[in-house]
Amino acid sequence: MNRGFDELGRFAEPSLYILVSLADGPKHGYAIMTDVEAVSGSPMGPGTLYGALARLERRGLIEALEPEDRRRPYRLTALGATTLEAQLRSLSGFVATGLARVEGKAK
Amino acid sequence: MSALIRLYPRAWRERYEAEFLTLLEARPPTLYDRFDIVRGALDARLHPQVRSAEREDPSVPEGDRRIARVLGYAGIAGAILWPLSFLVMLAGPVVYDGDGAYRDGSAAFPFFFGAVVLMVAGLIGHLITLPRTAVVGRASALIAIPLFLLLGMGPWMWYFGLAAFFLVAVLAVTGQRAGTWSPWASFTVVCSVLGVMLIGVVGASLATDRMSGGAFFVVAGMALVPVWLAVGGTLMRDGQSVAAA
Repeated sequence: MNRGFDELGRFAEPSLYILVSLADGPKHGYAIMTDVEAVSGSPMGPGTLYGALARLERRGLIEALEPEDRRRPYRLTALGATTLEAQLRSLSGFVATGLARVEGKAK
Repeated sequence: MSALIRLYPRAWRERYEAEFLTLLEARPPTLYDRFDIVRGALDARLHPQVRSAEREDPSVPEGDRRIARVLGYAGIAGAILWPLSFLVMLAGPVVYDGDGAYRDGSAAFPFFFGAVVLMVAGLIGHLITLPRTAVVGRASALIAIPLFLLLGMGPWMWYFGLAAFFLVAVLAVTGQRAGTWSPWASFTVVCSVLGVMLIGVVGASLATDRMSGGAFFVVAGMALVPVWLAVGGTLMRDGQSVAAA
């Protein structure tokens, strides 16, 4: 996790899931929650979801759109997209290194 | 469910309550979700991410905020003078009279009075920055000022001081609700005041003479140092967001 995510503390992982969820288009809270559950395989509580949304919004990584009924969709900002891409590249490098070491040990 | 939502700070509710309730209508919360909401509310109070609309109150001009910040330095200076006055008291000569022995702490009076005046300066700073809608907090600061000045007459006016510190605790809690005090500063003040009350009760039951009573008085006085730090520190960081946490 890079420094921007480190400062999110326990909200770092949920924030990453939310950014990934918003990467394919704007979603409101419930849609994000169900999408994150589908992607990660584990539920995200409403308190955690909104704790992470508030942090991401405050840091300009996502922005709220006009409410539809009482549901407010969120979308990724340009900064959010860049941050997400950098984070995923960092993780993929970490995964590649880890796999290479594990596979090297198995041989 | 609305009872759980009320655990969140007002600024958070103004921003997120409607959509949060819609989410909970779409997915009725499990027991884990309820625990998660309580934990989220605690986090929102300890690490606010949403600025209070009152904190953005444009009715407090920048010039007044600058004055308040200077008064914050006065509060911090009081945190130095206050314990110094107790140290001087402790170093005073032991005097014997018909009722036994006591320490003559009259040399500490200038430090004691100075610390109290600096606390008053800090409270004036809070009167400047506290939103006009925080009526209870403003009234608490306003009433505490003359009480502190009475305390400044000497330690034997401690009962005015106790009432004044209690009012500072009320100011801290209402200030936190209004978004001008951080949760930690407010918590610190409340703990200090409660701690002093506890020390007072223990001291009243255990002190056997004026010397031992004086020792409890000194301990209680030292426990109040964080109040000066919180009053001054809160003013000094005014203008920055509480949400910076």
